[in-house]
Amino acid sequence: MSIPKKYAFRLLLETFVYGLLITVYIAAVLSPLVSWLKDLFARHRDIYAFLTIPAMIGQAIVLETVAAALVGRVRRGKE
Amino acid sequence: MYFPISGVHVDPVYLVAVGFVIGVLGGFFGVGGSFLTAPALFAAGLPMNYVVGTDLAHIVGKSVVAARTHRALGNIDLKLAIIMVIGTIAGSETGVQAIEALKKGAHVEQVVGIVSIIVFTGIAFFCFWEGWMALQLKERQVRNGRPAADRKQDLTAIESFSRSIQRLKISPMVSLPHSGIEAISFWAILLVSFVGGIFSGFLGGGAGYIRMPSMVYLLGIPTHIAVGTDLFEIIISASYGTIRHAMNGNVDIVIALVMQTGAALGARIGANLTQYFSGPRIRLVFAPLPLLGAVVIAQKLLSSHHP
Repeated sequence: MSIPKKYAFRLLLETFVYGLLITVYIAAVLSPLVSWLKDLFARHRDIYAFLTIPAMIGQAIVLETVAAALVGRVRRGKE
Repeated sequence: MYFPISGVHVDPVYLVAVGFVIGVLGGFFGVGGSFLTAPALFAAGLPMNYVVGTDLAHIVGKSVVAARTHRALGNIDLKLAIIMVIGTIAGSETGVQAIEALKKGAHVEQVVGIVSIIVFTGIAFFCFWEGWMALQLKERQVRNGRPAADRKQDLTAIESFSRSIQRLKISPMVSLPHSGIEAISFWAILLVSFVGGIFSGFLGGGAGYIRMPSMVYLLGIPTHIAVGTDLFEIIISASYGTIRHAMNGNVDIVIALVMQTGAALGARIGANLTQYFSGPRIRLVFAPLPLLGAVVIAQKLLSSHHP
């Protein structure tokens, strides 16, 4: 087993870019949604239940796509 | 940060860090990681009813990321995953009903706890022994002049066992060309996933700790494909569990979303790391994981006896 240096560097770069991205995301997107989600939980439990899956999958795909695009941009800028 | 749905204050950095660690393990081993997430959320002050539901919601998001990476690496057998989903959901319902039946009697926590400890310890020792034997076998093959197999071409020490299961001619038979299996009984796949589902419903979480080794040792699926397919299957079975728990008011979606931000990166890293490890090595390093789960449960049981 050996992990190539190139992969280790890409990993560090990705972690750094992703760390910045999720900090901005939690502060700017997730925090303002908290009270709305709490309201939905209290008043419309069924809608809340069915919203959990698209929310989890949507966030996973969007964050991954944006992070990949940002990492690609940073790497191209370095080359 | 205050999470008003469950009414707790938790540091989001802690949630992201927990998500990241569980994400790496999930992406690498194809497990949900509930045996670590549940105690971590409980330690953060989340009430127990929210722990199970919120953990399942977070597993959905993390598994999507890991499964996408495994799909790009060619590690998902879609046909196998679809058959397994049927067995898992049926098994999960049976497991939940078994828990409900046990609740009527006394000592439900002790029964579930002791069963978990025996199962987890058994899996851990078996995976360690088998992974070690398979590595020795591989080394012997290389010494005897046979070419070293490709990382994804799997080798197990008990291959004859999965071959005898594949020889059972109970129709309908299905072929799994992506996993390199010419024909296997549909019922064998369904039974393996059903048993995994029972454990999922009975003990909580995705039960990847039992399904992934079962796919390798009983069905003869190569380890890399077992990990990727298990993750894909977990997306569907965990989604079903999440909706059920959310309807009962047991899911704090905000906590799950924050945890998932860390888990997404971890899952991507874990899934990519599988490229650099052979099947027996993955199974060998998998061994301490269920053992850790057994230790966590034993500690919980002992502390409930001595408050």
